[in-house]
Amino acid sequence: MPVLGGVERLASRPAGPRRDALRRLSRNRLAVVGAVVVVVLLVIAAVGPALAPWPYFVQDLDAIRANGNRPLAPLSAEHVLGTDSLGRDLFSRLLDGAQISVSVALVVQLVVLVIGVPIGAAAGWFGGRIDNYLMRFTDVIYAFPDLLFIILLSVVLRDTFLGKAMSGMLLIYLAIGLTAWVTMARLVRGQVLSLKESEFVEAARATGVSDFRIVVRHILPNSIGPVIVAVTLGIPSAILAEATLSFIGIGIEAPRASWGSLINEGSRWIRSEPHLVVFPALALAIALTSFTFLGDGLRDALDPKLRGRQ
Amino acid sequence: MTPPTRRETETGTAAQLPEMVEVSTPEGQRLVAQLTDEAERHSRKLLQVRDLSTYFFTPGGVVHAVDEVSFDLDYGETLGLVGESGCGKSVTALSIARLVAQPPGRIVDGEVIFDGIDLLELSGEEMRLLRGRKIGFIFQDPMTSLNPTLRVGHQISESARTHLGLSRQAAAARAVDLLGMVGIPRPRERLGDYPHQFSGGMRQRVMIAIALACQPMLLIADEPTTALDVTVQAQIMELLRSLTQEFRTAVILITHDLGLAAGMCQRVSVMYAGRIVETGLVDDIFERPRMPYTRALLDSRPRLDVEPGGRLRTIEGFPPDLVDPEPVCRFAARCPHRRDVCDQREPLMTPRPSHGQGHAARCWGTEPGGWIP
Amino acid sequence: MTDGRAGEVPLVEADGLEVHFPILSGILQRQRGSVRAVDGVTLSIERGETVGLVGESGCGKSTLGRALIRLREATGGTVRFDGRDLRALSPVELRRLRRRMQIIFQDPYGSLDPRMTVGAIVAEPIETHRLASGRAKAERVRELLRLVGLDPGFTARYPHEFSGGQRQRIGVARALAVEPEFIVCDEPISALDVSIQGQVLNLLIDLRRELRLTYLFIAHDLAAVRHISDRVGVMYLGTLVEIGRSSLVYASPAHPYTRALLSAVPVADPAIERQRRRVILVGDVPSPADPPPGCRFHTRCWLYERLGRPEDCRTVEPELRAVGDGQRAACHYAEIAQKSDVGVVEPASA
Repeated sequence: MPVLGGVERLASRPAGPRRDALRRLSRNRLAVVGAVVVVVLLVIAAVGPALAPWPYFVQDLDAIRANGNRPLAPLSAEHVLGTDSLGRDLFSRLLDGAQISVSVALVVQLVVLVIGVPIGAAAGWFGGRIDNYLMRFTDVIYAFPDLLFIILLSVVLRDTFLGKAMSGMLLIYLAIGLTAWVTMARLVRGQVLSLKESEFVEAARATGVSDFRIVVRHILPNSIGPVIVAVTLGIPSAILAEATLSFIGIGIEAPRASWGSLINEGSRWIRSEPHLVVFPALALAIALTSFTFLGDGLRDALDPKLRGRQ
Repeated sequence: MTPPTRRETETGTAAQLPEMVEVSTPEGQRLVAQLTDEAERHSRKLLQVRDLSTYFFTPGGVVHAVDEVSFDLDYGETLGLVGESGCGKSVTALSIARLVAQPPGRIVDGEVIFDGIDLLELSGEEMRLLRGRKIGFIFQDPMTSLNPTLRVGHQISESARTHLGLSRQAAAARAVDLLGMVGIPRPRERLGDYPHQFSGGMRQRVMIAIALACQPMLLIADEPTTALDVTVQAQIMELLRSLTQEFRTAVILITHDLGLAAGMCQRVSVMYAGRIVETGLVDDIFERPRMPYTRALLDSRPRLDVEPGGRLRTIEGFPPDLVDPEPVCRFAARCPHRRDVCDQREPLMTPRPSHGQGHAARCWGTEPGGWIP
Repeated sequence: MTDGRAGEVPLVEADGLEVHFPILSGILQRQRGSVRAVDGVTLSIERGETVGLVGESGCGKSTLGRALIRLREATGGTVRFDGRDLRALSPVELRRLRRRMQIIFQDPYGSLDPRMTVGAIVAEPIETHRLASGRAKAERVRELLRLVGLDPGFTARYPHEFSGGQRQRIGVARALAVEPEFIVCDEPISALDVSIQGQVLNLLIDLRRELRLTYLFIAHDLAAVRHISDRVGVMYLGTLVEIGRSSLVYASPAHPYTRALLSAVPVADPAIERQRRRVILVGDVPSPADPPPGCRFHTRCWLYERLGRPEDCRTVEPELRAVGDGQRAACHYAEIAQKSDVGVVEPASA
């Protein structure tokens, strides 16, 4: 029993917010390039060691000796990118480094999500005193110098089980994650705070929807966009942090290689054998810029102000 | 509280030729030139917009936001540009001042003759000097046009200093005068305040002070009171009315509120879907509109001066898509009087002299011999 | 319009209702004062009646509307819904009662979750109150969409694909999903285009008749409020300054503020506009954190000036008192105000 005569017209193009965002993302050339490189990086990290011509730890001593105990230059017979001073294949070590970098990226962001999202959501949703305490706590963490915190943590825990697990990497992941969640908590708090006041949440409350369902059905799904962007843009900083730590000699233990520790080792030969620094640095730069391009693209694509626009 | 009177556009010749002047002397030559200039001014319009078209080039196609819009404005006259959102009234105003964001927008065709100069031919720098000096602007949201980090006094005197070349002191004194003139209490003390320290209505007064700082010949007011409460709206409109009368400033009032236009304007142009569909003296437009859209707009809202009761006569449907519009009447799809011809050819703006001076409408049904009474 | 039986309790009843918001400052969040958004409002709404509420922004009309359905917590006074004290209800009881009272919002963009389909939005209240499930639920959603004049095939679409007027209809469908008796309409048309406003007004009026709804219609558009309301209340700085049958309030307003409001509304008739006597109020609305003593309106009141600033306006807060047939106004000089010719627009007989 329609009370109105006129049924209104509607554009015929069907599209959800997700499909909309994807369409906008696919229009952004830099973001697409970033996304492709990121996917390639993920594949390399997953299957890289299988592709490697040499195991990352094997020393080709014969080749070195033949070269007068010096690192092999790129494009030598059996080593595409040459070897380091111990005769280990640089290309294989770069692939191993990719695995380290990607796992840093993923584990650190997992730590950030697990700590940052609940703290931010709780602060924003409950407000008042809880918000005040949680946010002052994050302020303290934020104010503490990251690098100092990580160095202290890894020195203190070096000889424990945690320090030795996964060639020392686990400790690094946790330490980086423990300093990086603060930004996420603040972001989520802001999101929740503004969504809590939005009329659609008010409408849900007015129809008697429970708080738990409001958070799960309305608040979290609407915060996901900015969180995805923050995670993507947080990855390069995590990779960079790991590289920095490895460069100054904390963290990854030989013989495993990360791009940071490769640059560190290579820096001793930088005058005579620049390729030992150039290739890992290049790998690092490509990874960082790709994630940043993708993150920027995602931010533009998911921006609620652009949502629904042609 | 004075009722708005119809303003005369003629003020009489300002300078009279002295009894005996030898025309061959330099003094005489100057006088003759001055008189000719005066005479020319009286015969011409302040603003002549001819076939102005502004399109937006978007991934979805070319949007004909303003399509062959033409109108005139006399010196000191107030014209209402009325229509719903998306009809192109704001873009028309922005195009006149050449403030359309480019890209995606572009003025693709037309002439805008302002006080004898074609604005579309000016360089960017010349246009910048003209804005503020001769054309003032007031927008709906004063917060977006005021700089939040600068003191209000500075923002008012800035315009007087750039355009009138006043000294710092003189400009500051002028700012105090202007703030007092727009009705801000204790103007001298408030010069040092920032925009956020003013209420919405007071901010709009500051905008008016800035817009009128150089006594422009034309003031474009784009929904100046839409964000304000009715009592504050009444204050602002009263202020605009008295100031523009005092300075003989011509006004283009852009609004969706027919009531505002009824109280402020001498003439009204109604826009729909990028086109002007009807234009005429304010009484003629409101009493006997010659375009069904104008009629529908008047009927679709409850009015204080009409006894309530019954259903509102609403306009069903939506305005058409302005991406490459069909050459048919753009209102036809929603028009209760539509006939076949409306869907075949687009009507032109034709004069309707029997319905008032300068009255013109774009409608097949009200053409002589048409089917709409 | 009252179709309830005589002697029955009003559907909604507020008595001395107060909503004060604390003003907090400093790291310790100490309370420094309070904003008295709603400051002692007494109002009752009968079944089947539509009460309009007008006033300028910040007068507390939206807060009052929300407090009446306990979407804002009142800080004083009582609210009764069908005789039950809303403030005494447990959360579970309140949630159950929400079936009977609903709200329609101003912003057609902000009031619909952008990540949910129209079907999910309209179905949520049905799921919350377990009114239907499975195929019956889907059928009910389609029926609701038809009821508000939308194509029932739109359930899989997202809100951003709709125009403002269509979104407002979706919001109405959501409110109707629980078959409420009372709906607070909080500025439901002010964000819409002129030609669309009328469509939504017509829809609300049709639904009222069809579903025997009771409305609180909040708006700043005085003409729209008169069009839809049986009675109208005028708010200023958190208090009700006048209330009465619309026909009376608009024809012989008894509060100087009501007259000032009416006189400020432009009328789409140049002839009337030319000869109208307008009262232009001076200054801005004072802060609700620090309302003026005595009559809250006296700082801007034209009648106060005209009467030579009588002292009681500054010192004694006027009570809302009867000034005519069911018409009440909170002004010491209401009878004088009522006789003035300020602000009233003589409606031309249609």
